[in-house]
Amino acid sequence: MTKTWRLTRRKFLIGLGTLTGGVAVGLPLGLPYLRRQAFRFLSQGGPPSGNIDGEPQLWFEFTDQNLLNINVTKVEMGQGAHTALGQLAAEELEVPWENVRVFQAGTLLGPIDSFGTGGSSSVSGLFTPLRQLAANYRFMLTQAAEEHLNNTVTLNKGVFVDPDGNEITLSAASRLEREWVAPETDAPLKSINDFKLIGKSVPRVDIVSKLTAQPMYSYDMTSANNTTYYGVVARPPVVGAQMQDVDANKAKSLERIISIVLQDNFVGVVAEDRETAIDAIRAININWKLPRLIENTDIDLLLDPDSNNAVELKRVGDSSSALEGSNTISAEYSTPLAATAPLEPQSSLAELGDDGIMYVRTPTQFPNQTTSAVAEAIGFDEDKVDVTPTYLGGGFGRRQRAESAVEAAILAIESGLPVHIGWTRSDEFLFDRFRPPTKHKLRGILNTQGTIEALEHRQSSGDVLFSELPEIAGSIAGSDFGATRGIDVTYNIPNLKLYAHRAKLPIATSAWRGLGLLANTFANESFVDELAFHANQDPLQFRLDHLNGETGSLVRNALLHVAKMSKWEELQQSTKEGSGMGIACCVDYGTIVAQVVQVEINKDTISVPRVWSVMDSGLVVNPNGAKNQVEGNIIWGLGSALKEEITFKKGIPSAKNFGDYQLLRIDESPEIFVDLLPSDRPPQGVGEPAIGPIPAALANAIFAATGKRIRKLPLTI
Amino acid sequence: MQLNINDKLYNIDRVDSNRKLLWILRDQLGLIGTRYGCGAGFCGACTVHINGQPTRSCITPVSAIAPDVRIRTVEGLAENGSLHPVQQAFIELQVPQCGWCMSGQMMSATALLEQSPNPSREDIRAAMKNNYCRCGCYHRIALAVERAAKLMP
Repeated sequence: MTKTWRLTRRKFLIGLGTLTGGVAVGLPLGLPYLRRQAFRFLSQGGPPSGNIDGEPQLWFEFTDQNLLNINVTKVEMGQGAHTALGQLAAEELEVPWENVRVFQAGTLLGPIDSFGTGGSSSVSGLFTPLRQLAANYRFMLTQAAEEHLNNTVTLNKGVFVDPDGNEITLSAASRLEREWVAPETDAPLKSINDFKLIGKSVPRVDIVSKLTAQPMYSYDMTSANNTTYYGVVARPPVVGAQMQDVDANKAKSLERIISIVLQDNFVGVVAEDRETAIDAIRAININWKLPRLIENTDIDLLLDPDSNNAVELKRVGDSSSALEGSNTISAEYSTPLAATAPLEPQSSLAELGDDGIMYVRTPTQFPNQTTSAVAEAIGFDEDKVDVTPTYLGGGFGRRQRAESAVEAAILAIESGLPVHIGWTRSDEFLFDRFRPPTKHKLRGILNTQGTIEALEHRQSSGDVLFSELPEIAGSIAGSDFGATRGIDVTYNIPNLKLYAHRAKLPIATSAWRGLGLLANTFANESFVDELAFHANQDPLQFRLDHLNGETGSLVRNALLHVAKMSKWEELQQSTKEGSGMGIACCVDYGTIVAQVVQVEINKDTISVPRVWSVMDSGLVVNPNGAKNQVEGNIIWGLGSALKEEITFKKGIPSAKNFGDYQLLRIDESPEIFVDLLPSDRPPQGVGEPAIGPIPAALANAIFAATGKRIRKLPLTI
Repeated sequence: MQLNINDKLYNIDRVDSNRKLLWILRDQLGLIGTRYGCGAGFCGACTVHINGQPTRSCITPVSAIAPDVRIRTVEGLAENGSLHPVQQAFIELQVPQCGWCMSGQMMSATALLEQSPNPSREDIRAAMKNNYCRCGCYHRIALAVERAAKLMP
């Protein structure tokens, strides 16, 4: 059977399509312009979302049983992207949900995404392009069916029917021999009123597998045709240490060792089982040249919100002179280093195929970058490397890089065997790419009407996205748009200034769920609460008094809704000794979140019995999935607000395992109430925004309960 | 030596007797439903039942398991082709996000419900408190265990 694919037009989403290319585009325009552009784009326009190339057969395939297989570029790490993307495509292709299967595309198979998975952008970014691709394909299939039946057809539940009752399935139509031509003009999209799947809480495609012990994660992968061997790599005692000399004689005599690989600054072992491989690595003596050992005070000193090198992000009015008055209110906030700690430690299976291609299964959020890294490490061309992401046992930003993919590929090449490398929990902690610490200095002044006359926020943060970009990106963009996420202020303030300082820390920091959203919202929303107190106003009313304009009215709606849900006024009045209510909100790209936290203080113990959360994220593709994301973000936010912290001593992070780094537990979790606001706006991100307000809402509740203002995470009484 | 896992006998090489049950299950026997999270008994992802007791397989050497001991893993939850009530409830409430902790969560929940068929919310929180969920699905886990209690025969 031959198919001629003549694609007469292609569509590309313009934006920061690739992390590097996108930032470099505007180089001749000059720095200040670009900085403002980058900030505006990233704070209002939305995150980079990848693109879609216009070849439907890469995305959609109908099986003999007329099931629709969809190959998606975005990885599934628990955020529900596979399900939501499946809903978008199946909606336009008129396929019943039970006939939809979703598969992960690899670098050599299926469509390619020049970005990756992150920034809560998978569904919002592909909402129109993927539906359009499916609608165009449906148009082409309809043409084919009409030719075949020589009549007009209608499509219902995966089957074309003509007025005489003759039928042809989508599957059969897709296999007709003809010249397939994409439409010159985009086929019309379904109207919202006709949606059957979008907006419905269809069951997620990955849930049954996850509850019935299916091998779907990287740690579960074994070679399909051969025995799988297990690799372990020697890790330095401190990040940045260099190997001096290596003595592997003792390890060579161990049973069940297959090979020992010694390369420049790399020692690895392949064995028949993991525990033997670990024993062998321990038996290899390595002398390390240590770098300067980092102490927490080194890190702390580099965070300097007052630095002259801070970049101005936004200026409205003249806040400098407005803040000169003697009634200026100022406060300093800080957030610590934190670990990403996905519950599945990273792992990879690498196997050289008979076709000369290196096949890698790995939990990566950025398959293209991982492909490049593997190809470079083993000296292959990139088209001889296939990186197919598995389901991820958590991502949260840590899976931008997949170091184990490179390690497994090196050992697979050197041993000639399929090799699986699984990191230990200690590897995950000691070689994490941490959430950077931040410091924030805020100043504000109230006018005689009791509203905010001027506000200034000076923030200093370690790298979030600059650490993942070429060095030049830093000098072009000026400020790390990951670190500044959430710093913008929605309140109507006549004089406003925002500054960001890049602290170049001697440790690896990177993306963490929500990037800078949690830290910046903690500072902004705590400070607004402080100003409300100084203005002698109710924290809710004070916020409402500063909200107008388009976004402002959305925030206002969310705040009023959460106040009603939580019986804000009633519970504020009636709260007993040691308990209190706090409110906070945030705008994350196009998503608005408002939250109320109830706190109970018992001596030095902070407990949170209830949290109410309202989110307006435009049209929601899968409401139950979106609610699950909000619930998860509340737990994350509370974990950060109450427990999570990494410090450095003698170059080593303070946690090697969960004994030293405790996550929030079920017995510390609140009752959670979530409402999603109906909206006509297109879908916005849902995977991260609800992490933003929680720490501030909790700090505000503690203030209401005790009169103590805590400005440092984790919060302690 | 032999291990009785989900009412089936598996032969284990003597050299492996000092290894941890988790890795024997996963890498040797292909029972990958039991997951690895920390290797130190903190997180609960590797929870199995040993004679009905929820046990951390990542710190349990197989040599410590007596021949007459019955081991149950997540693969043994479904019986006669139908899912266990705990699995049904977790599906009904669409509990998991990334899902890596879920086998351990369900094994802890099953052990609780077998010992205490009508647990209070506080009983559930106490019994499940050593099972971490990094995605933060605790709210749904608690609701699903309550639902499973109703579905249990």
